[in-house]
Amino acid sequence: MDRLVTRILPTAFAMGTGLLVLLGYLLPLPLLVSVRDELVRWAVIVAAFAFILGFFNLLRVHSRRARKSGGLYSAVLILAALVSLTVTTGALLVPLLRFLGDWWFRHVLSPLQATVAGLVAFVLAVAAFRLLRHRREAGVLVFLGAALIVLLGTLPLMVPGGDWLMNLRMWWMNVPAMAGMRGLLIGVGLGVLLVGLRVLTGTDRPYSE
Amino acid sequence: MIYCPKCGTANRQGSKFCNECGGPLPTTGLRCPMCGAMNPTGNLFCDRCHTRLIPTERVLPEETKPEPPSPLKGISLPSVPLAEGGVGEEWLAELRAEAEEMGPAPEGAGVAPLPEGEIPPWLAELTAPAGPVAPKAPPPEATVPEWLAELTAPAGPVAPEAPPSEATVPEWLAELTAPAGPVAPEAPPSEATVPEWLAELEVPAGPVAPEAPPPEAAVPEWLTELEVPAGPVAPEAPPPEAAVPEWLAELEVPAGPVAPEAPPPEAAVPEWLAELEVPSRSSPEASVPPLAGITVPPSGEIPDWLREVQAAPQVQEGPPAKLPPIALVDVPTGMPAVPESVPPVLLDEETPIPAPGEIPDWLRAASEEALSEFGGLVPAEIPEWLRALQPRAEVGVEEEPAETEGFLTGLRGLLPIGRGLDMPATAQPSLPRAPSPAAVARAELLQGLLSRPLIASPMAAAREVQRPTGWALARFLVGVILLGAILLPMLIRLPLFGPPVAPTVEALFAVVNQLSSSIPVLVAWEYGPAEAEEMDRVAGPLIDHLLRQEARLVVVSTRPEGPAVAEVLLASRLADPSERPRRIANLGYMPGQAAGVRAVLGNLDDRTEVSTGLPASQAEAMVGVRSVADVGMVVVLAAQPDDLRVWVEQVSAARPDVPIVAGVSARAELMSTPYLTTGQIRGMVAGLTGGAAYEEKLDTGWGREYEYYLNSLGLAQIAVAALAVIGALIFLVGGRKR
Repeated sequence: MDRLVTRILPTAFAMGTGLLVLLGYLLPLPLLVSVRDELVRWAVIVAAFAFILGFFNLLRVHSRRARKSGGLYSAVLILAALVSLTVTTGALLVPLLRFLGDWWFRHVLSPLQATVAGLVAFVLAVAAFRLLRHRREAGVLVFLGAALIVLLGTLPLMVPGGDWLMNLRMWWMNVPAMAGMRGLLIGVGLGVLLVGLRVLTGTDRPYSE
Repeated sequence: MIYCPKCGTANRQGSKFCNECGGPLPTTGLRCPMCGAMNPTGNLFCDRCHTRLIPTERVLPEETKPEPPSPLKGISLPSVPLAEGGVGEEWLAELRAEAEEMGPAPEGAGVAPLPEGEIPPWLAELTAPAGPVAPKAPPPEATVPEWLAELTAPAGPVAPEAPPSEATVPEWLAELTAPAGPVAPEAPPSEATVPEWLAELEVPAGPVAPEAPPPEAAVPEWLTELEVPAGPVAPEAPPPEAAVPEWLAELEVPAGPVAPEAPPPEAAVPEWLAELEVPSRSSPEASVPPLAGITVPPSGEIPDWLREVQAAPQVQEGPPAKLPPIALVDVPTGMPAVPESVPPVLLDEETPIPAPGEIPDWLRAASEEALSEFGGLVPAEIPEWLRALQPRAEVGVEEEPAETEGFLTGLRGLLPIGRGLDMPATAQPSLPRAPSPAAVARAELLQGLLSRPLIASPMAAAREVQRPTGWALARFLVGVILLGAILLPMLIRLPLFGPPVAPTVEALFAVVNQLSSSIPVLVAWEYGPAEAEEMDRVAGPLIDHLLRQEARLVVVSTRPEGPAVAEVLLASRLADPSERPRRIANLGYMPGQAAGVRAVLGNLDDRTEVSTGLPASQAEAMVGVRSVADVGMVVVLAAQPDDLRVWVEQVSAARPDVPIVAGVSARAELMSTPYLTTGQIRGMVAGLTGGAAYEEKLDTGWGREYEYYLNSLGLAQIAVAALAVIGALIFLVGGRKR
């Protein structure tokens, strides 16, 4: 019974729905198209509920950690999550509280996230400084040279040689970097196709135990 | 070949029913437990790897499970499976069938009495004269075979169950039949089915009929040497009293006076039998060897003459009679010992039966005497292959279990027991019931370690302590340099950089310029607050341009923060807030990634407008917009390259004719450029530089802000590049650190 619930039924549902959606694209018959659209709509609903489930799971996990020593950060996280939930929900339900929601987003959430993202620049600067501290390989030197070209070539420098540096940067971006990026994109496309086929055929079952 | 489980008949492979009895045949094969190969039913060993397929079961001494009849017990057969369709299988099948006809009578036990109606006529005729009335009414000559008629009188004590027909009696047995009349065999195999080697084994019994000796070529040398003394020898001197088993003495002694009224004709009795018969009537102790096929009627039907036989030994004394020549065959060294296959003598239960493989003393003495008479006989050498087949009676060794399945059913000692070697180990390893104290101590230590709060490792703490103060100073200097590079343009306007250059902006600007007034444009807002500082400078000029073109913006996002970020930017870019309902419809967050994009492309009006809370179908900006087919362009504002990929894939699949343009971050520029070069997107603005270029081209009055951002960005990039070069020089000169 456990095997039926945890493995067989999820696999059967995944394969069945995947094949139906695929048939809806390959054979645009009215019935198949309607079935396809309905299944896609179901997927959106399920994803929304998964998002809510994830929120409550976050609260559950950090509520355990908050009881232990060193759980101060977890307690702050739970408090911030509940406040955000209350404020944004109240702003949606009560029009008079909408300003409160906007204020919370503009003056709390956005600055905090921007600050965290801004720390990346500092970390990258330190990493650039220590680039050759541990490794002295040819790849590291190539990486350092490419970083310098892109960093300086992006800027419209008003110095002699600025145009040459910008052209070098354009060549570097359009030829070597683009070649590598196209290879990555082809790999990603093939990987997505393969993963889709494996899920459709039941070879991969990420949804079952 | 498939053997019928009912009658033992060999049937062709693939048969479903027995050709002989019509019974169903097993159709499933046997799968080898080692290699997995399928083998035909009846195989004891795998055709591929020679693994035993049907394991033998060792019978415990206390088990009293009745064994199936084993008429061939003691005959050594080659352990190699016989070839399909070979002679050996057929004769073996017939032997088995005949053995099954004997019934499951155990050894040493009497045969169950046959019902009255089941006694064959010939047996009734035989038993009639054996009884008290028999001498007065002998059976008619026409119903009794000639040889049997001649032996009717002496055959009284042991009536045969089923006399073989002439057609099925082999030659050697026919020769043996006449003199062996008193102990007629049950059902000897037909001549055609007896293999050569068995025939050679049976020939020595024929010395009782010297008229037709077996061909020399067919008899092994050692057997040939044994035939001579065994055949004509009719030991004159009776064996000593102790040599005759008790059970045999009880049987033979009274045989004499049983049928004096109807002696067989002298001419039909061979010499040895004549010698045997005479003392059987006159000698008080006539010995009859235990031979197969002797049956005794049930006690209730024992004729009077047999009752007298049983009672006679108590009063008869004297030397035992001569042994029949068939019992005088000596057993050479190495030969299959006196076979345990000697069929059970069906006497009463008190009759002792010689142990398997044990030669009675009387037989040994008789054979020695016969050898002494024909001096010079030397036992022949037994070839190695035959010696290997010789059963060995080992003292203290448990008896080999009998085969219970296959065409060797009933035989024992033919195949080695290889369960431990051939069968895969199926026993599951078992854990000790109680953990050892050491294991408990280790488990407690692990549990204690896991329950401790997470702390920095001592080595990490040591490294932190040992880290030089110069390193902390370096990090501080890096931070100061970066901060100065960012803040300096706010204080001083540096003429370091020229106008931004972004070649891709021209195409995007041209596409947007081609939009007609009031055309709906679907805007995918795929960035959050973390990327807003950059992406707002990318999306701002583009949104300004769209609003300037009087386009209606339908905003949707697959990121939860997307609608809120969009509201902030749109509110700042829209000059007249009262126009918002007519110009902008924010449809909010759409979960599901690619599925959400696909769903929203087909049902744009099936959502709720975020700012007003009204259904999208009632929003003023959504008039005439139901799906992506109703929009004039799709604008993707993505900070992550994957978001752009998803939108390009779904929009291109749904409506390939709808143009797509993109505003991406500098990080996503490299991965987004291929979509631009392939034409999947018509135009692209990337990064702060691209936004500044678009702003400059649009000239909306935001130029001073962009100049500040570009100067800060440029100085920061120069600072990072300088730090990388300085660090490289320091560590190249100073050496690598570990």
